[in-house]
Amino acid sequence: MISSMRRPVIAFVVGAALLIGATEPALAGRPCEPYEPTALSISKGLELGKRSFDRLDASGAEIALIARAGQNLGQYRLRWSHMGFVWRDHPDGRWTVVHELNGCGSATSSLYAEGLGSFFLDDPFRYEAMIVIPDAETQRRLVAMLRGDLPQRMHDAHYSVVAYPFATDYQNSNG
Amino acid sequence: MIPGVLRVASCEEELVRFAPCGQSVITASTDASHREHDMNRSIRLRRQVSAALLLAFTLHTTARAADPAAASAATASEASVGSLAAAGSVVVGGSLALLAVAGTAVVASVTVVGASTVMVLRGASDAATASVRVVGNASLAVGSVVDVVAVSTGCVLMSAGRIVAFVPNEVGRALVHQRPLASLR
Repeated sequence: MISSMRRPVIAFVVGAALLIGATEPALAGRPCEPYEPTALSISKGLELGKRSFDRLDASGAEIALIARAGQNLGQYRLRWSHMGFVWRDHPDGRWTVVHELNGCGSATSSLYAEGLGSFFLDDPFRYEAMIVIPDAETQRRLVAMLRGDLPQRMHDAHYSVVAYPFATDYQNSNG
Repeated sequence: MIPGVLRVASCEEELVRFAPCGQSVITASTDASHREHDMNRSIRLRRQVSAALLLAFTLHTTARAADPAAASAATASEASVGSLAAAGSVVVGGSLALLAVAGTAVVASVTVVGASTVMVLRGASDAATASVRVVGNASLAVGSVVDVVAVSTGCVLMSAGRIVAFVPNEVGRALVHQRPLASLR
């Protein structure tokens, strides 16, 4: 439950995430358990990536935020476990996701550029995506940020599963 | 371009709603057992969050800060460099399309080439063949039966119920790639 007293703090966190751009609050979300892909899971993951790709194309947006439900976080009353930026004109290919991931079970992370199909391939809890399209000015600033090396300069490989946006000694894939 | 929120679901239903920023987003779920819960939750969130942009960020940030136990119980994000994210399988000769029509093929030869393995697959009629280069060791013996399953983004090769390779088509290649970005700190 989000209390009304917490809203100003939340708004600040989100504003920082959008305008500074190097951190993204929310959890991550790929299960650590060994996972044996099946033809169905591949098909569904890539199909969701393709649908997201097509929807982004149709939106006319240049950049957006995309979330997945990698894990069942229902006990915390949460639906989305991870979020990243998805940029139309990324040098690696149209609609590439830029996000932070840590190695499974490790306390270090890296930034990744990843296709939308790969983003949904690891057996998510729900085959659903949420795409958030910012206003034009915010998009312009986000693209300028991703075009440069600001994310890499601000990235700190020290990782914690706890997403606390004011921490100065670690980062999380969502904050 | 209109700011807002899209939700996209796979396969069973087209579950996309669009709403301008600050308005609600409610969808059904692909899983009927989640439907009522999800809709109630969406309604609750809509009342609590003043802008749709806040949704995903706020949910998790709040829970993490308020409940460290919950945070530690949740699984960390995983860099899935392995699995299919690194699917580098390509057809280097022949065509998988004909084999996919038949649905099965037999491994006619296996050749290790550097860090890759090239498998020649032959259809039952012998008329259709395809050579597929797989990154790493395909671990298949000559004579093994391979199921060739066509999906919208490529072909899945399976043997004894296990995935041997995913060979993306043009659509799949645009979707399946991953590389780390070097940190500058």
